[in-house]
Amino acid sequence: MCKIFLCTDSYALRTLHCSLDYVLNVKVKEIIVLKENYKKDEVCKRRSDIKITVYDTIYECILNSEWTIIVSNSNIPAKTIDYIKQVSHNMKKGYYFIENPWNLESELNDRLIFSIKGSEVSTLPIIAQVSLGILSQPYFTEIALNKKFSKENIKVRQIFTDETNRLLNELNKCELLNGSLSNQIDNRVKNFDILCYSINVGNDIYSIKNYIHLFSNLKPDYLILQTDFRFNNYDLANQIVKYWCFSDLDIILKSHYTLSDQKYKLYCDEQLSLKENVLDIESAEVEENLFRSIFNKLSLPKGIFRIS
Amino acid sequence: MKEIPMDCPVFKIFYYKDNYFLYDTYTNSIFKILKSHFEELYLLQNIGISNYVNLNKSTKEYNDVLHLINKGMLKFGFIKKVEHPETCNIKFLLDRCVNDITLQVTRDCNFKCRYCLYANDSKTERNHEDINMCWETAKKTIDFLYQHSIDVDTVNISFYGGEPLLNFDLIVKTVNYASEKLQTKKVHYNMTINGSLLTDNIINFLILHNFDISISLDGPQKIQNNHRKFLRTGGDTYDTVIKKINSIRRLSESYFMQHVYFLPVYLNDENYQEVYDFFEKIGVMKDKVTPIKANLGGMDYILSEWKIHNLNKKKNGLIKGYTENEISKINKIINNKNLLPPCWHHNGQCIPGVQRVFIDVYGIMYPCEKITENKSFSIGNIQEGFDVERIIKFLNVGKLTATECKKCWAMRFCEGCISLCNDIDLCDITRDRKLVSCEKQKEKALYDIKSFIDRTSKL
Repeated sequence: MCKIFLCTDSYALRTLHCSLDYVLNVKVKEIIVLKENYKKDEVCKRRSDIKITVYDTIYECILNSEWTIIVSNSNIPAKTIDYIKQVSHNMKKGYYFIENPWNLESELNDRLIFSIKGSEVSTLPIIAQVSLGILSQPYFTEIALNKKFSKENIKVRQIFTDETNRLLNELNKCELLNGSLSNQIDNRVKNFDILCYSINVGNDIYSIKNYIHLFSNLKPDYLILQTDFRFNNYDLANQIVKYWCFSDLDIILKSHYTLSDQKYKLYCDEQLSLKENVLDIESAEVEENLFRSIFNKLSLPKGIFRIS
Repeated sequence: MKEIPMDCPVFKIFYYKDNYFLYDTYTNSIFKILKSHFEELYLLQNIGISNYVNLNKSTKEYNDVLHLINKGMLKFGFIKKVEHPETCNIKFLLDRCVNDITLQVTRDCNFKCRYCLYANDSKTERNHEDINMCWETAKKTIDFLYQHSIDVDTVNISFYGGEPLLNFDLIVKTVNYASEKLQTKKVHYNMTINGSLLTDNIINFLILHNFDISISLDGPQKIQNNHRKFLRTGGDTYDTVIKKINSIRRLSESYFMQHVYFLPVYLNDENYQEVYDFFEKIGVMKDKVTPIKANLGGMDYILSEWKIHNLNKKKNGLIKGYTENEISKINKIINNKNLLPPCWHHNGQCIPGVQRVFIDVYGIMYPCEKITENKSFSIGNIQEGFDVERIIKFLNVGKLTATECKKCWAMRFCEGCISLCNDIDLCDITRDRKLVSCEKQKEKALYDIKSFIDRTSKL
């Protein structure tokens, strides 16, 4: 059981720490964080049993941890990275450097999903997760899906968003990634029971139109839309999903982040106004409600099999 | 004043270089038109859309204007409410995204400049005084920044005065503390100085911490010595300042080229070209020089004032005054064809406390250094934090002139902020002061459009 110092900016910290114990192939007992990037009273309510300890200085964080994961894309100054390396070396402790994939300016690239033929998966249930920008925090749901299906012994083939894919690849290269996620990254999952694909279409919901061929090829049986804190155009979302994704909009997951003044990744520590099929991604019940909804829709009675 | 009809569409017609032009605000489009169109549009402006449409004229020009209306131009009433879009986020922004602070490390200065508001016994502004910020206040300021910047990756810390180098020891202590405290953020340091107190030791410190410094050098010897004297002796300052600038170059030419800027102040009766030529002669790149117009009635750091002043001096054409950044900014405004949202606020007003906060020697916070240091304009203090209600009021400065803003043809260009609206006598931002500033914004907008026409079309 380890104690890991997670050194990164507040957004990545908030996004990563909730599921770190599942994502890594080691048992995580405690996550150490720097006070500069974490407000102690803002705890994600869907939190697990991991203890989070906050220290004022990097020195204290390294001293009280067993090893360090730095997640940065040059937002952390070079001298700080050098300092972490130096202190870790002096204390004979390990560190891993992972590139932070969550830039506001990151490009959306074509991915593996476009290589999957609809005919190959026509008899399988398909879950599509559509995210409106990184501030909708698709990572939460992608990991939750993998965790749930693994737990239920359901063989899932998952195609992640570019950002999640990059992060998991980096962890995989460091040999830190759990087996279930590693199989996905290495494309080792065969004869799967369910296909999950996640795409980040950017901040503009109308960008979904650019993926119309994808949805036509891989018609989702269940569609999750992830939005930021301020999104409230549910009628529009329903229409767009209906006509461009060829699916009902089954559930909306809202994050607590929003883009402010075109440049700030702003966390809004406020209660979300929710509706029947709109869930708060940080609530304690979100996974339970999400999977109840998924299984209600997708699971078929015994003796009934999907042919097409 | 002539009453404008309620349904008067929002546009601007003007005559420029022997041609007639129409600027349509709703579609953000510029058209070259005929004189006859100009006359029709003038009529439309005076009688409003419904009366104009009911004229039922048969002339070509009348039908041309109707055609524009039918194509979705010449609209009115498309702005329903004036409110800054970040009003709903302000509480979180102030709690988590503070990223630019300026510390007034001293109110003392070793110069006495002709146009300085604080050096000339102003009745409305404070004067220079031998008061320094104490270490406890500086430390609390950095702690405040630390607590309120959790969601930003980069912060700016600026030092201001008076002449900030008079309290250099505090600057050193503050920088060392900030470097220790802010471990995972990029910190940029800035300072505005008169240059006279630089030593090799100080310069090396600035180089070590990659300070961006702005030196208030007004130009060649004659101009500098005319504007700026040493306070105690009344002596000339040019030789001293130039010597210090050369010291920077001696210690690090690359630092000088990348991190040193100049803020020449320019009076009404002076030839700015002489100043431009001077900086070119001493090897300073154009983008490192930002001219500021002074008003002998007090400091007026508004660049737009400078451009308007020069426009009045020339009948036609433009003067060489636009930097690459300014040209790029104007192009961006004009090329943005997005429709304006029904709930809108003009540009220009930063988010007080977030994008900038000025902390005076006592720890009282103001929106920026351009605002009168009067408690009526304070947005809080280091001990108790932000005055959120006042910040929201300043953020929504457009509400002072909401009625006018909704009908203003220059709304896309406007850069009004509270520094242009503060009434020192009433100790508040006022509608009257804003309306005065509005006229200047419109002049600037028209000038910008004309410059765009000059750059992009062959007239």
